[in-house]
Amino acid sequence: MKKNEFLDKVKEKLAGLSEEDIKKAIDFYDEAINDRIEDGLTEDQAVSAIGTPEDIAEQILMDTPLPKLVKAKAKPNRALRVWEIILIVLGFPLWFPLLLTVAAIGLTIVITIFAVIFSLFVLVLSLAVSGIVLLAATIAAILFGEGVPALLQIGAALICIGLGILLFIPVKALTLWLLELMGRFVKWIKSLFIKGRTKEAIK
Amino acid sequence: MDTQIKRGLLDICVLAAIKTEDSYGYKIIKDIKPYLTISESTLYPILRRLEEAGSLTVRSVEHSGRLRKYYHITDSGKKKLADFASEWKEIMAIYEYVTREGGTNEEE
Repeated sequence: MKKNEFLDKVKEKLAGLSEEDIKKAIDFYDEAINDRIEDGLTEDQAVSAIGTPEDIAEQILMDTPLPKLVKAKAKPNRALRVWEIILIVLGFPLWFPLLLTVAAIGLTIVITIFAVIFSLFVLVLSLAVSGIVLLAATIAAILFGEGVPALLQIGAALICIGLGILLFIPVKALTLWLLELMGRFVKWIKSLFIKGRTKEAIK
Repeated sequence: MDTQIKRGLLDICVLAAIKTEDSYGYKIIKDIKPYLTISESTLYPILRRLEEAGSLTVRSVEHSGRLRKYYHITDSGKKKLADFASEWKEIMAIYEYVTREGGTNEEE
């Protein structure tokens, strides 16, 4: 394959990304091929040493932030035909609620995860605060000479503080795990988009 | 090499390749080759990521009638290398623990 043919293929696979992103990538691979030719390879050898256009496009797309990727995917590679526009307009009552539902579900998942994290931290914090308050109450009870309530309160205080400290570590670990899980979820959605693209390209 | 480990090391190796003097894509690949195999398709996203993170800057230099991009390490990139070097001691300790011969650390 010749260099220009190769670069055109990469460009085609990246269609939808911003002009600037595409130009940057093309410049990079143009330089890479030229440098190999300068090193003594023929044009064909240099091109095949770089890899396949599919592989290159996939690496770039996997590294592109999700919102940019969705935008790129939504942008058609060619101008829409008249009947397609009519279908999109007429289908609005159908696809719009569907789109809204999908977006709402995604948002719900994110909010739920953060709500769980938040409530766990509130739990730990409230245990710590009640422990401190109970300690203060203990001191007050001792000052007023009430031995039995003081004993009860210091016991409760120690339980609260102990639980707070004990729970902090697993809560932190759980939070990190949930965040990582979310990261993987985003990566999975990304791979769905990219697979869709390359399949289209093969067609 | 394990892909997870390799991924982390690649960023460091790219920074190390431009540590002493500015370098360009093909040269970085050739310099790293004795240590890690890397292709252009792997290098490109790494360079882009490092640039966005402020670890390196890019400038175009004319070279035999065309432009060639040279990558220059920033202070934050140098700090990344220093951090890696200090973490390495911990990794070496883990290596010794993993490869130790028989028995436990506690001498009886």
